[in-house]
Amino acid sequence: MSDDPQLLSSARVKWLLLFVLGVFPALLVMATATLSFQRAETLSFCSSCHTMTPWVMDLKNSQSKAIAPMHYRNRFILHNQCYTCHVDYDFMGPVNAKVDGVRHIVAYYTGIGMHNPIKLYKPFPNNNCLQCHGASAQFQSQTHIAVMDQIKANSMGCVTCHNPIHTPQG
Amino acid sequence: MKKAIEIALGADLLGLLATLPCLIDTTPITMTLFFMVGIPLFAGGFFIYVGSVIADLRRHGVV
Repeated sequence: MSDDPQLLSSARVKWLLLFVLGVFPALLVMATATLSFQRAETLSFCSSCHTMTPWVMDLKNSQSKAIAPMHYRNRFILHNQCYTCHVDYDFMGPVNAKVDGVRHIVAYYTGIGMHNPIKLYKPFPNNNCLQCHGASAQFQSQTHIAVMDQIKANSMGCVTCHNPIHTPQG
Repeated sequence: MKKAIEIALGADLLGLLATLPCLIDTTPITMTLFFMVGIPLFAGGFFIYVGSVIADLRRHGVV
């Protein structure tokens, strides 16, 4: 190591700058990203986007006969109600949900890929329903057994019979 | 090198300003600001600094 005090001072400054410009921002980005991803799963986050207002109004409407408001009203899902149904239950599901969230932001601010009215990017996967309902006694009833193979193969959607899911209002 | 560090610190400060709203209250707007502006500014500031350090080391014949 050099004994030159000026060089040593300069090296200390460089290490300090490395902390200020490298370590601190990295820690801040990790903390903010983790926290914001958790907050982005909440109903209040989804409802803070004006595009979702009709869907959230329906969700909170005690008179709505749709499936989603019924789940909300009866507290079938305690927290993160939008996220719980709309994130896919496979390995990449949470990552794809984040990517879709970025697509929503781009669509909202640029209009690129914006559909009016909004619609799902792909048909709703049965696995998202079966994650909760799959093992229930009601699901294992005679009615479902007759079409079980089609349901598991996703060739017949749960929403084919169980609808409407949402009845957006306003 | 001094100019590069000033730019890097400026980018870092702006990155901090773009990140703090999202850390305090996450909304679609603050989250967009953080991901689209804050992170690129932090990354830009860091790479400008690393580039200036490498240039300085080359000037001194260390690398």
